[in-house]
Amino acid sequence: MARSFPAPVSLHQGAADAGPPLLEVRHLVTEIQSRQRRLRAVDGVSFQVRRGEILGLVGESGCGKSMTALSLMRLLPPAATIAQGEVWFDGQDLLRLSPKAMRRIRGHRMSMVFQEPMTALDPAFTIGSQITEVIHAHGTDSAAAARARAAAMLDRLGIPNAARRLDSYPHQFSGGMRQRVMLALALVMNPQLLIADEPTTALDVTIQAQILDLVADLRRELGLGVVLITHNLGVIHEIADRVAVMYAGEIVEIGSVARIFSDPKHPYTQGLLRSMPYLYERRPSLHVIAGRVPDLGIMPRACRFAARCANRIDQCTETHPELREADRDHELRCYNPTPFAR
Amino acid sequence: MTAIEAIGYELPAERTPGRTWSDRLAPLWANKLAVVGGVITLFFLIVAAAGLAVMVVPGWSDLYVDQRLRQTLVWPLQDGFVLGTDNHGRSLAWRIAAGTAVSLFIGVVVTLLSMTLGMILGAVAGYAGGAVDRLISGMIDLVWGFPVILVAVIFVGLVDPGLTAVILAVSVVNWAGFARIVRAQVLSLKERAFVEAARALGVPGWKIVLRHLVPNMLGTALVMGSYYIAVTVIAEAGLSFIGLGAQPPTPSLGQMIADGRNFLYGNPWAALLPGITIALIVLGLNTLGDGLRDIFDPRLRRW
Amino acid sequence: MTRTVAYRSLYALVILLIASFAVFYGMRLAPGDVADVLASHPTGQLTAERVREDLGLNKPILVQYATYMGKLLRGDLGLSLINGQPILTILESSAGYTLKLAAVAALLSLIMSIPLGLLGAWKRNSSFDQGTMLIAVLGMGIPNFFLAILLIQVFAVWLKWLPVAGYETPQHIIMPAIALAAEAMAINLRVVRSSVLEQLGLDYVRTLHAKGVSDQRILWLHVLRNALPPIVALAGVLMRTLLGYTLIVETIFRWPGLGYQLVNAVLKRDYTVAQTLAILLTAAVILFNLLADLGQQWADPRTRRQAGAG
Repeated sequence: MARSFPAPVSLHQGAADAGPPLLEVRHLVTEIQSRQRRLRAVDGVSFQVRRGEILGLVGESGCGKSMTALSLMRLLPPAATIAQGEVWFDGQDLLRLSPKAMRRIRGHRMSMVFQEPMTALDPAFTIGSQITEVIHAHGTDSAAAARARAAAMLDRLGIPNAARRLDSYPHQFSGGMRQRVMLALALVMNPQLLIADEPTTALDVTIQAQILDLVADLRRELGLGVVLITHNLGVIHEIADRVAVMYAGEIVEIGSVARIFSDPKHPYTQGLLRSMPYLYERRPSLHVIAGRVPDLGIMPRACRFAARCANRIDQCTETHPELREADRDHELRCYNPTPFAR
Repeated sequence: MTAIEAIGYELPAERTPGRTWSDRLAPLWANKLAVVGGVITLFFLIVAAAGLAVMVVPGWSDLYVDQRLRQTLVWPLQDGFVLGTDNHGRSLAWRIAAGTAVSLFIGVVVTLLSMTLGMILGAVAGYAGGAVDRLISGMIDLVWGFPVILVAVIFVGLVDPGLTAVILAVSVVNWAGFARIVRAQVLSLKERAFVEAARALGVPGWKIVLRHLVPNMLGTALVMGSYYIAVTVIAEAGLSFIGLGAQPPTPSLGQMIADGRNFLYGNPWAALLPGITIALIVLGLNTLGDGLRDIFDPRLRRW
Repeated sequence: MTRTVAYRSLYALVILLIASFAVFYGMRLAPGDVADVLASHPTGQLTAERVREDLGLNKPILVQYATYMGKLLRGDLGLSLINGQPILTILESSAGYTLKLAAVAALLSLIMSIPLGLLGAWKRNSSFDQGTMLIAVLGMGIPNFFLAILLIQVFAVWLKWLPVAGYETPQHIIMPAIALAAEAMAINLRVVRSSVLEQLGLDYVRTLHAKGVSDQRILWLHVLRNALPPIVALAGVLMRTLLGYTLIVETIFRWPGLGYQLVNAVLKRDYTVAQTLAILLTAAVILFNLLADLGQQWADPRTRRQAGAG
């Protein structure tokens, strides 16, 4: 029944070490104040990331994955607030740090790249000044040293003529090149953790692959922990070690990539896998998960996926399922898991 | 991070913590601005109507021109004068009403004049493009933001101090404000309209532009109209204040301030009240304009 | 960039020619005869015939204009109709005053509006923000001449801190400058605030936060820099308006600048003075327009780069 996936062995081998986790998120709750109501975008999310490990965070748009990422960085828009939870990073709870202390961590020991490379850079300043700005914000390098460091970083990220390109403006770069610049901004201080929010969605496929390879290389070379947010399971399968599937603000299934791709248990994860074009080329047509994410106002009390679920039993519409261990390194939020069938 | 409202689910009502009143009223606020501005404007329209009546109905003019030598510079609420009297013993209340009528009359006439001119020229420039556009745009560049007072001084040389000079000067400058906006609107509509015209063969492009433009322009006209009446009221008052605008016996708020400033020790209200009146008229019109803008076209830029 | 400057300057020159001719023509059509003016202001130094001849009133209008402009460019500004004083003398004594007043007022309006608008947008909807917006509403609603009278009443008449009018001491410039700056300040405040608000919602600001850059640096360097184009564009218009308002404010405070002289000349029907001062003020306005135009090109990094590359 279960088709085995070709494990992308080369990237996964011994990447993560066994020490205490680099990042531990405990029961994170993030709420958004919209005009008439208060919405929970992230509801009790918990996960860990180890040094050198890539955790994929996957789900449909609007499931709360970007809000989770912004919560970790404490970069939420003004309307959103973190209501509960802890974010342990390197021995301290980030949610309890003063804004100033948090600022010293951002871009220094923990960085983020965003989806839209076209608008994420300041159009009025040169690439070089935007990179050296990070160095000056966190270090004591001289102007010349910072510039050399910025050039080296751009060079490392595969930008030709790096030293000369420092004096270019963002609008003189292509999308792929700008995303490399964004990575340079994020990585120039040698952070321990990188949060990448859909870093390749806006790019064309060949550039996507290059950027992802780059992230995978950097993880291996620098022992970087990565939280990779995407709605693209192919990307997860290619470079992630572990994956957390989010639905309506909750993690519904979390575990190693090998296990979840070969034996997905949650009906939603199964649906996502079936709807992937690349892994199931033999299927005559793409699978579509029927229905939509529950509407804001009528989020069910019980299992949030119940309305769209083919395996629904009575209990699913009565009580809210908890995340429970299903296997070794595999947790699941479902009353009635069924084997994956295509 | 786009479409934040599409994320997450709603908390039960009882857990919704305290929200500020300004949040709660946010959807109403835009309209509220329009309502407050509208009420202030309406009030002064009524005042202006009273002032107009006093000025045109035979025999009523005594109310604002009669001089009482024994009752000069009476303070408000004394001797039966609601707002007091000026240095000639004339009723400030009726003079302010008459001045308001003159102010608003000039404001409306000038705005209608410059709006018509500006909208036609702006639409022609945007639609025709090419040399016509360059010519009209050049005129807009020259005139837009040109100091009204300076233009008025030039016109005063031409036609003598008075309201005619004011009307001409303000019209000559203000049409450009309307023309800029309408030109931009037509330019953006043209692209779309020609696509549509290609589909609906036989319908000329200008008809389609007009069909889309007219409903758009209604909002623009209301919003910009409110602002420009305010601008005109200020300009008229300023010119009358330095003696280049309304000439006696035409009552004018600006001139009343100029007269009253010589008697600040006797009765400061003779200068303060006309000034406050101008400020309130302008405040009402600006607020009305802001409210209407929020309703019709939040992206419309005044400057 | 050089080509842009050259093109814009040429354009400004053409506009200046048209505008100056309009002023010239307007003043020529003015009602009343030179003899009437002289009759009402007997100076004894000028006769109607002499003036007519001086001004070439019997020649075609274009010839008159060319002659006049030629003299103007050579620095021969002619004499006052009323008292026979050389207009150059009037100009020399008054231009500095207007420049000083306009510069102080412009500086004042920028120094007030940019920080207030920036901080108001940053602390959106706070009481600080609402306070500054109230200032903006009042600044736009209260006409400058009325504000001038309020200032005189409070600071000169009641408190006696400042002189009522005049120009002798540095204190004399305070009230005229405030009265002149208020409206520009209010309008600028609104534009700065809305432009900054627009910038604060953009992605690059979030990137700057993610880089660990301080709030102050984000606001005062990055956001302000990017919010600049509409502010610069408006500054041109505001400066022109401000120059126009010198006519009113200088008259109220008897500040002996160009505006005061011009209004006086018009009221006394001193056509030669009025015409020359009006043309010079118009030239100043057009020059401001040109500078603002070029400033705008500079403020937008895209056009600047293109211009620099091309």
